[in-house]
Formats: sequence, C-alpha cells, structure tokens
Amino acid sequence: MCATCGCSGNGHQLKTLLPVLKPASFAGLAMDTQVEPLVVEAPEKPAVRVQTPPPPVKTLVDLERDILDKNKRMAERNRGFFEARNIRAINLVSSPGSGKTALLERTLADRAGKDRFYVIEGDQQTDRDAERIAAGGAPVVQINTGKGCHLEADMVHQAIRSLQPETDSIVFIENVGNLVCPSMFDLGEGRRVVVISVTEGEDKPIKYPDMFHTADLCVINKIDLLPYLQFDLEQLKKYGRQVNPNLEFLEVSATTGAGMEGWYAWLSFTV
Amino acid sequence: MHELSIIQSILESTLAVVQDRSETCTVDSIDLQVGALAGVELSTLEFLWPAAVGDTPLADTKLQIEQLPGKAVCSDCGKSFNIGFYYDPCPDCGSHFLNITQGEELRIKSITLVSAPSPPPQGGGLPPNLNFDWNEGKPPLPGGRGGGLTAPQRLKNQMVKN
Ligand SMILES: Nc1nc2c(ncn2[C@@H]2O[C@H](COP(=O)(O)OP(=O)(O)OP(=O)(O)O)[C@@H](O)[C@H]2O)c(=O)[nH]1
Ligand SMILES: [Mg+2]
Ligand SMILES: [Zn+2]
Ligand SMILES: [Zn+2]
Repeated sequence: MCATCGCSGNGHQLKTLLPVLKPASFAGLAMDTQVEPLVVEAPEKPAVRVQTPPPPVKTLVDLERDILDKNKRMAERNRGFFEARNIRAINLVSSPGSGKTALLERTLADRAGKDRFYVIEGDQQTDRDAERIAAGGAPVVQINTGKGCHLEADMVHQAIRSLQPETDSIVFIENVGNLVCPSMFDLGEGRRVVVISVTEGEDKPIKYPDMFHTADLCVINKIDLLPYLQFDLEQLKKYGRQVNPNLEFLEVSATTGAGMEGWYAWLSFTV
Repeated sequence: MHELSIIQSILESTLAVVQDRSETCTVDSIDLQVGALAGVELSTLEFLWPAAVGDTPLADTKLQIEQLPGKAVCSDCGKSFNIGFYYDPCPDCGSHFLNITQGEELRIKSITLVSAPSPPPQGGGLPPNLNFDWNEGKPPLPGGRGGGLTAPQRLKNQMVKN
C-alpha cells in the first residue's frame, strides 16, 4: 500500500506544496519541498530570535480514484461469486411499471422444474413485489432502498449472502423502477436487461441513452397492447441501436405469454 | 438522484485519506474529473454539495470540477471525433460502432489538504513572553525575507494597525 495517501496502487504520489500568498500560483510550485519555519532576525535586537509558528502547509494528494470505486470493487466480488458457481445473474432495469415483476412471475411459472431461480427485489418501499415472487415459489429477498433510487453492489452482496443461490441457478435482480440512476451502478451481474413496455413511446433509448448503452438485451413488453397504440417497434430498435449497436431485442407479452420462448432461450446464455 | 450517492462516495474516499494521515488536517478542495458521458448532472452535483456536506468535516471544502469532453474512434473507418451523446454517429461514415476513448470518467483527481500549524514545541524555543512580533506597528519590509511573510502574518500586521 502506498504510504503517502493510503492507496493501493504505486503510481500515486504525494505532492507537498509551499504555502504562498496567491492561491493562483499554487499549482505551479515545486513538489516535495519541506517548508521550514520562517526565522526572522530583528535588526535592532540581535540577541532575540523570534520563531514564528510554522505556516499551514498545503498538500496535494493525487488520488486518481474512480468515485464509484467502492461499488465497482464490490460488484467484482459479486461477479466472482456468480462465475464460480456458474450462476446466471441478470439485472433487470426499466422505468416503473414496464412489467419486470410480471415478466418474472410468468418466467417462474413457465420454467418451474426446468431452472432453479432466486430473486432479489429492489423497491423504494413495500415488499409487494417480493410477495408476488414468493407466491410463485422462488426464494426472494426484498431490498427497500428508501430514498435511494437504485440498487448498489453491497445491497446485492447482502442479499446473495442470505439467499445462498445454488450452482447453475439463475438470479434475477429486479432493480428499482428508474431509467436513469441504476445505469451507473454495476451490481456484478452477468447480463443487464432493460425492459420497455410499448406504452412508453419509442424514443426512450435516446431520451435515456445511458441505460440502453449499458444493457445487453432490450425486452419489449406488453406487445398484446400494440393494436391499441401508435407505437413504432422498428423505430424503437433503430434508436436503441444508435445508442448501443450491440443491443439485442425480444418482443414479449408477460400477460399473454407471447414471445416468451425467445426469452427462455436467451436465458440459457453461458456465464 | 444518484448524485447524492456520488457525493457520499466522494465524502467517504476523502475522509479516509484524511484519517490515514499522521497530522491533523482539513480539506481545502477536492478536484473531480467528470466526463460528458458519465451520466452525472454537474449542476445537480453542485447544487446538492453544500447541503450534503453541511454537517461533515468537509463543510468548507471547495468542490472543483473539470469537465472532460467525450471522444470516440469509429470502429468502422477509424475516424476520431468529439462525441456529445452515445447516439452520435461517426461524422464520416455514419457508423454507431464506436470506441469511446474519453468522456466516461467519474473520478477524484486530487485532494488538497491543509495541515494546521503545530504548536511550538514544549520546553524548546523562547518563553512565551519573549515571543513578540518585532514587526508590529512597522511597515512590512520591502522585498528580502520580509516578502516571504505568510498571509496570516500580513493579516495580523494589518489588524494591529487598524
Ligand atoms: N397488458 C399488459 N399488461 C402488463 C404486461 N406486463 C405487465 N403488465 C401490467 O403492468 C403493470 C405493472 O407491472 P409490474 O410487473 O408491476 O411492473 P414493474 O416493472 O415490476 O413495476 P415496478 O416494480 O413498480 O417498477 C401491472 O398492472 C401489470 O399487470 C403485459 O405484457 N401486458
Ligand atoms: Mg416490480
Ligand atoms: Zn436517482
Ligand atoms: Zn466512421
């Protein structure tokens, strides 16, 4: 560990700067200079030496540290756990009400006996979604984030410690309904899935580019409602690919079950 | 409002650095680098900062933010260009297969600490009653060593005069 700033890297250095009168000239001064107390001799009284207290010393600590460093490191721990157990961990993100829980309920019902599922539910309040999942028979942990608008890696870490998911299983992490904040927080998932329902408008990918940029798959839900709406599926995909040319798409209805076979096939990805 | 989480992370990292140091010090300023594609609203960050640090040791700490523009290299034709949004195409060939080379940064570049002057050593030095300011009441010395007086001393002289 670097002794000067406590960082773990070795490229970091501590810079000590001389205190100067003008803060503007501060940055250009020589580094690593020890400031000596200023000793001033009085001309009239050579016998008396006055030692002024050492002036405050400004020290520049070169940190070069990612602000979300702590979350990223915890996410990597989660990822290591998932990979070691061959667990497919999926982070489901969307705006509120696009049908994430409905998609999971349907998946649990249709795939019962074929796959082993665990679910982590993130909501600001209530355990209503966890109750819906528990009714489907999967072990579930509800995380209430309170004012927090997204899940973070340490919350997921706690949840997997209590869930203890088995080898070869699937862990669904339903993030807080929010198309902005969850995009920045890696949870250690193997895949990120953004769910969008056809009632939301096809321009969501360019309005919320961060979320679509970081997703692996876009599940377009509620296609049973298409006959009642002006919704241009192809335009949605076009916008999505502008933000993320590698984005895959699936069209489903969690209510009627249309298109769900494609989703189940996708779920068999290798960790 | 992930900006609050971000401020929380900045606080934790900074306080950890302060606690690791042997001398007591305060944090004068924190220098951040935030890329244009990092997903952080700078105005929100700056707006939330004073309230978020109000009850912490960083209440007087300045937050200085350097914004880094987005840069990309086209994977299809090799063109380098500035990118403002993820959906910006390559200006030469229109491709969206891009390699983002700058703009996703969200980092604490440096922290400037101020260590409080340590008290005069016990036993050593002059007895307190002899520790007078010979400059008192006199104009500051022109040039020479007197020019090296530190800001607090200048201030002290001025206060004595007024
Ligand atoms: N017509 C139709 N309605 C659906 C479909 N999927 C979900 N819904 C309805 O959409 C509403 C919201 O569904 P949820 O599953 O609670 O959505 P969510 O994304 O989990 O919501 P939050 O967790 O609150 O963000 C419910 O009333 C569902 O019945 C679908 O495929 N078709
Ligand atoms: Mg839900
Ligand atoms: Zn938020
Ligand atoms: Zn190009």
